[in-house]
Amino acid sequence: MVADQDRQELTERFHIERLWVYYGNTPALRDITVGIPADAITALIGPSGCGKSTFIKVLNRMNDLVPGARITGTVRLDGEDVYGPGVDPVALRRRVGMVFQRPNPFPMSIYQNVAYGPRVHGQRDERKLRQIVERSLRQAALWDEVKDKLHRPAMDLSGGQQQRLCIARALAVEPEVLLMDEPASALDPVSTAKIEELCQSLKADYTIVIVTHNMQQAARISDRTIFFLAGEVIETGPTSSFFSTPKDRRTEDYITGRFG
Amino acid sequence: MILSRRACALCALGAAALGAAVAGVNVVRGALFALAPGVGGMLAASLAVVILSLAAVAPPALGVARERAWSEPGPVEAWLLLVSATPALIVGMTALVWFVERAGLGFSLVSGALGLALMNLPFAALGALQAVRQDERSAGTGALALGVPEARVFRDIVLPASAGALARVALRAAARAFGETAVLMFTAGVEPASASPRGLMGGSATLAVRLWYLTSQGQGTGAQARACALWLTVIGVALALAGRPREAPVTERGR
Amino acid sequence: MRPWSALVVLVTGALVATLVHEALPALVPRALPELWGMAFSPPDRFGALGPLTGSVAVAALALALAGPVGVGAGIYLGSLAQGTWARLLSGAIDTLTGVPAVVVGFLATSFLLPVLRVVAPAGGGYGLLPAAVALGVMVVPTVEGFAADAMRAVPADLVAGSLALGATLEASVLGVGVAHARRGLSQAVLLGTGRALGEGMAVEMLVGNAPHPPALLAPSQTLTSVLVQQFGLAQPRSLWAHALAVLGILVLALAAGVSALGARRA
Repeated sequence: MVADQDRQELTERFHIERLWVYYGNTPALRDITVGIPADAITALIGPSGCGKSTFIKVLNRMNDLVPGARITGTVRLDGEDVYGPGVDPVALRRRVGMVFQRPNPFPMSIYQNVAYGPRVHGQRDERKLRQIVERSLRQAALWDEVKDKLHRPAMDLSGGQQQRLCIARALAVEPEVLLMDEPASALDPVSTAKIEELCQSLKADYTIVIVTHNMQQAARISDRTIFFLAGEVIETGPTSSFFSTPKDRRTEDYITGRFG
Repeated sequence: MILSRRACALCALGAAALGAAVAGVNVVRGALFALAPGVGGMLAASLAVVILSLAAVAPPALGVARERAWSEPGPVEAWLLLVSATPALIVGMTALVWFVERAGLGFSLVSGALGLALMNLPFAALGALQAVRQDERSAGTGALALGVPEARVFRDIVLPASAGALARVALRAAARAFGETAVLMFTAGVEPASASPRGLMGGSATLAVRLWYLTSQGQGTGAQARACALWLTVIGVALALAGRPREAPVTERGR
Repeated sequence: MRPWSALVVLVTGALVATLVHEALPALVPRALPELWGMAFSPPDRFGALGPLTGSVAVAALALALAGPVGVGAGIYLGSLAQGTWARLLSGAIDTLTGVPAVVVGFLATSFLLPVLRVVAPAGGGYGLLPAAVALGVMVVPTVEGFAADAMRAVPADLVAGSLALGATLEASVLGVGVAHARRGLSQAVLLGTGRALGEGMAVEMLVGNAPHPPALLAPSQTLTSVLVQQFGLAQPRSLWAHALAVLGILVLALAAGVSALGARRA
């Protein structure tokens, strides 16, 4: 297991170095240097306001849209600087997909929700689109539940189904990385279990970064864990050893429930 | 991508260009005629009916606002919204029957002001309600929790807190009244007052009515018509711009 | 209901009641000659159908012109616009709001009619077309305002969801934002239509006011143009005045009906 983790550290997908993020003059992230392994699940944990959501939004430059946000340092995706000159954030987001905290299906049919992304990226062939929709819905473990009502409004689905639809929608543009910002926090336990199962089945092909405030969830599904506190990375390591033998006192306090 | 934003902007700028042309052409061409004979009296008549009508519409509008500030929107709001779509022309017809004929006020500035007040009543009541219901209400709710009576809270806390929004509603109502023609031609008449000045009980064409009258008589190219158009545009636009609602907070956009 | 609210509801209700009361004598069967005729030309012809057709046609034409411009401006200002361009455009539209209808009519008389006169010398340039152009200019701010409101109500989450798929901001707003706001956008067009149906002054100045069937470039009638011209002239309690009140009810029903349709769908 440990050997397996080490191998993953060799193939780093993201490498973040000396990252600072400010909102106005207030630093939200301070001097972060950390790696995200490829084809594994990395969990970001920490109390609310610790910067984990800011961090995930840096990875696909969704932070660009926040007025007054400013960053320094480097974020490399497969060696290329994400914030480098000439990098198109729109093209980046195609490679780095994102699933949001609350399910946000588009106001259109289930089919159109999944077909939307490929269509935006130029896929016009209806036959190919149908294949993509089916493949993505199968990957998101939603196909069997919706195959007979693909043209019904996405809003008619339950919350858990909506979230899996959003995952299918993200998968349809064939990203390399999937960012998930507390994807199960608004869902019931059964739907949560389905999302977790889904993450496991996806990690063979995708690099997954998941923000969670649920430590059991992090322990159950992730390969690596990064612990944030007050805008800093306190500890990072393979999930198995992270929860059993934390190195930092603050990590131990947090995972044993002494604060947060 | 940039193109589509440009296209959007250009499409919308068509409208803007028209607006600018309307204002610009008037200012330039009308400036020479601003003091054409007879215009002063009609300007005075216009301002008089506007001010009178605001004075008449303020008590009921504020009254409704006070009574309903803490209620959820209900049938009263629904009704006001429905009748606020009543065309000014229809209000003018009613005002002719009510004020000019039945009440015996004849074609007069008073009839005109009452007609304008009637026209603005749903608009002003809804506007005042919206103004006092904005976040200012929460401050008032705090006072209510202390056991202060609603009417008192309204006077002491809600009114001062929403004064700016209420003033903007009044300015927009004034802009509507100042440019209004249909109501006034049926209530204040189409002839300039200079012949027989009888104060507010006398009739007088306002700038808007006079401009309509001159144009439909084929005298739309005269100095007086242009002067009317100039004053109407400058003051109407100034009132509308001064009264425009505050922009939605920037944080709601593009995130 | 408390006193001021009751008073305001009563007064506005009485307004509608008065109009109906004025119209009653004309609503007796066969009181009006040719009520469904194409020409409203007192003292002997009170055809409401011609003016009604004119009103509907001129409003439809006006919205065909102003709808796309107003909705486009609303989408742009409600979701995409930032900085100088946005301030400029929204300032221009607010300026347009302040220009009185009669001034729009006056300017169209001075600048648009001479041009159209070249195309259609027989009719003097008058007709539904110039009236619709003037109306269109007047309802652009109405449509823009409601359309921008609808766009501002689009949840930020939704647009972010599309951005996260690698769509541009423009594609996200047009693809997902507009889909969410489509009810509000069609409502904006309906409210603009309601306003166009009720507007009288600019239409009267441009439509030509002849009791002929509606035509784009020949003198025609609308409900509102007839009322503007004749309501002040008709002797109170004459058949003429009652017939005009019938037209008034039609205007009110059309304008308030279409607007209410718009408001209901919000």
